[in-house]
Amino acid sequence: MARVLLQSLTKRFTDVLAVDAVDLEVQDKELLVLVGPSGCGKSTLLRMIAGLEDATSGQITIGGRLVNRVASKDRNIAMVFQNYALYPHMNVYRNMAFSLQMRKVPREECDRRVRITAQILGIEDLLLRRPAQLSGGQRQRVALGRAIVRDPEVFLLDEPLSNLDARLRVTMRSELVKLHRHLRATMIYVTHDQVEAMTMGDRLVVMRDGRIQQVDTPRVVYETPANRFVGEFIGSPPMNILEGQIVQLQTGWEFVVGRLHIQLANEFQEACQQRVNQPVHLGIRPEDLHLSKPGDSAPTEVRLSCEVSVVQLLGSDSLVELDCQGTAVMARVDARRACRMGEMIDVSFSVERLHLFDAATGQRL
Amino acid sequence: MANRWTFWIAWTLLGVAAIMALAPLYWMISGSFKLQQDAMQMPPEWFPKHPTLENYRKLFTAGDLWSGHRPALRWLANSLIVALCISISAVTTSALAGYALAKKRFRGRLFVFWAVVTTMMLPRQVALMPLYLLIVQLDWVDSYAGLIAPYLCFPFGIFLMRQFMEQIPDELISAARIDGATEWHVFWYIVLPMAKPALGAVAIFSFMGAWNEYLWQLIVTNRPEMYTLPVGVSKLVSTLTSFDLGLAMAGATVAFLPMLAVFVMFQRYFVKGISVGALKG
Repeated sequence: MARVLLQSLTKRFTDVLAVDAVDLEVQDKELLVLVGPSGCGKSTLLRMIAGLEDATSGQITIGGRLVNRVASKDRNIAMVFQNYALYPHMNVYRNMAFSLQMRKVPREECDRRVRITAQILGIEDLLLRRPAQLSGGQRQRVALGRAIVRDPEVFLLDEPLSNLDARLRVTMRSELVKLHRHLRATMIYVTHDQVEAMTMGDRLVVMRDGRIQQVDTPRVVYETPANRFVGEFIGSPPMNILEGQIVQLQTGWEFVVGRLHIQLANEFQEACQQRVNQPVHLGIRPEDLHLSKPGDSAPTEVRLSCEVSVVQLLGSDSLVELDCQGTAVMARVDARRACRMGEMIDVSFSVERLHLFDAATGQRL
Repeated sequence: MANRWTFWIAWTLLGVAAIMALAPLYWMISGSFKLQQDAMQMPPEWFPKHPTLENYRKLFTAGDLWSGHRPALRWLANSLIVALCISISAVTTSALAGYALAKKRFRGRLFVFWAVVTTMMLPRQVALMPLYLLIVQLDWVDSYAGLIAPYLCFPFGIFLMRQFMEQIPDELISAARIDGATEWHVFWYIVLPMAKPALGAVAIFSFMGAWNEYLWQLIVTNRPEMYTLPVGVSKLVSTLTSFDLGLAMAGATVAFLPMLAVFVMFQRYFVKGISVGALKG
């Protein structure tokens, strides 16, 4: 049982508050992803769990045991670092066996565990090589092997894929997920890459300025972001944010930005009533915008006439930058739907896919 | 065409510089194979007409030329003992201090580092008198302790190790801690093996410094059996009623050869160590 519990965990570096009263519970056997931009405190949080940084205040509990004053080596955790941190003067075998030797595991047992782990990761042939003789992907595997061989309660992974090329990263992502299933261990994974976070995590923790913004499954975080920051950070390209205000009509409410008027759905009624003629932010994901033919949109859809500013072909999709009556928005559309720069097209979207955020706090309405 | 000229000019300049550097060495070595009358001949004799090992025989076998003994072997052993002890101690203290200054966080860390750097800038003569008085008080004159103690710590070595160890990623040390390594294990199994080039450079620098040391060893030794090779050789020249240049050259050659061997063996580390200091300084 390796549940990790953080209670009011705070870390202050002289005049910088790196982690601000974080409360978080990581379930046993869960793969929890901490995601956020650089400097948001996610790595500091991980290092505090590892015991590499002392907490300024708050409690860290691993497997029911308070570990604030327990040394890293006695927390029964293993960590994989961004730059792998393989000992360059030792070969792969010795890198993997080092932790076992430090714990005085008998030689035969040590050898058995190293070889089994090497087999799991497919690096049996590399055992006598030094890190400098390995490719990025192989080093990554060795770093994982060094963590696995100890059979720890909790795995801590600090941006382990960020040094790999894009193609290898995709492969390693799925391998890590499979490995997590195979090991059935608690894993806390830190990344700044929201694609990694979305594809790997059982749950996501989105962080900003040392604070947790939202904790939930990837789908919930994507579909109902807790605030404007989460909405923009999760998703690529980021959510379109229009800064306007709510205007009350006889038939309901409208969001107005410049010359653009968008009729809001009834689900926003309560939020709109409190914010009539007040500034709000409206979010719409680029993939929720559709290029449509005249007359084929559903009743719940809003239709806008826009001019195509820029088209970026990604392969299967295209990113189309649109000028919607003076307001710039980005749409992600099927690449087969040809459109040219300067062309006037109709864009439609479902009002149910809109997100409203408070202009002052950024909180979801 | 211009490249060809540049090539020849560069090679000529380098050739002249090399000759200027090697000429004294050649003069020393060739002189050691000359008898006194050939060595003092004017105009000088560039190639020994009557090469002889007589000077070396006189240097290493007991004779009556000076104090009834010719303890060159003892001087060589003294020099080796002193240089090795200083070198081992310098490597040890530099590695420990360098690690602490590079990787440990403690109050006054920068102050200590700059204090060490400052001691490198002081002329050695400044400390000579107080050190001598201290050694006299400790009754260490004419002893190995007196020869070695002032050089147990090597400020340049500390500086070099600190600069080198700063380059070792902190993640490696963190990884070792998580792997179960104690502070000593981290230092011994992770940091030291990675700092080999700098250790080699410190070993060479300190050995070379101790081997070529003259002033302190001259001051702190009075009995001939405690002389080191440079002191002994200089005494040969300065105390003889008849100045034996050939013998002095043989002594200088013997003093020079071990250093040459050390340099040839460790030149890889030497160059690496220097470049580390240069780049990171």
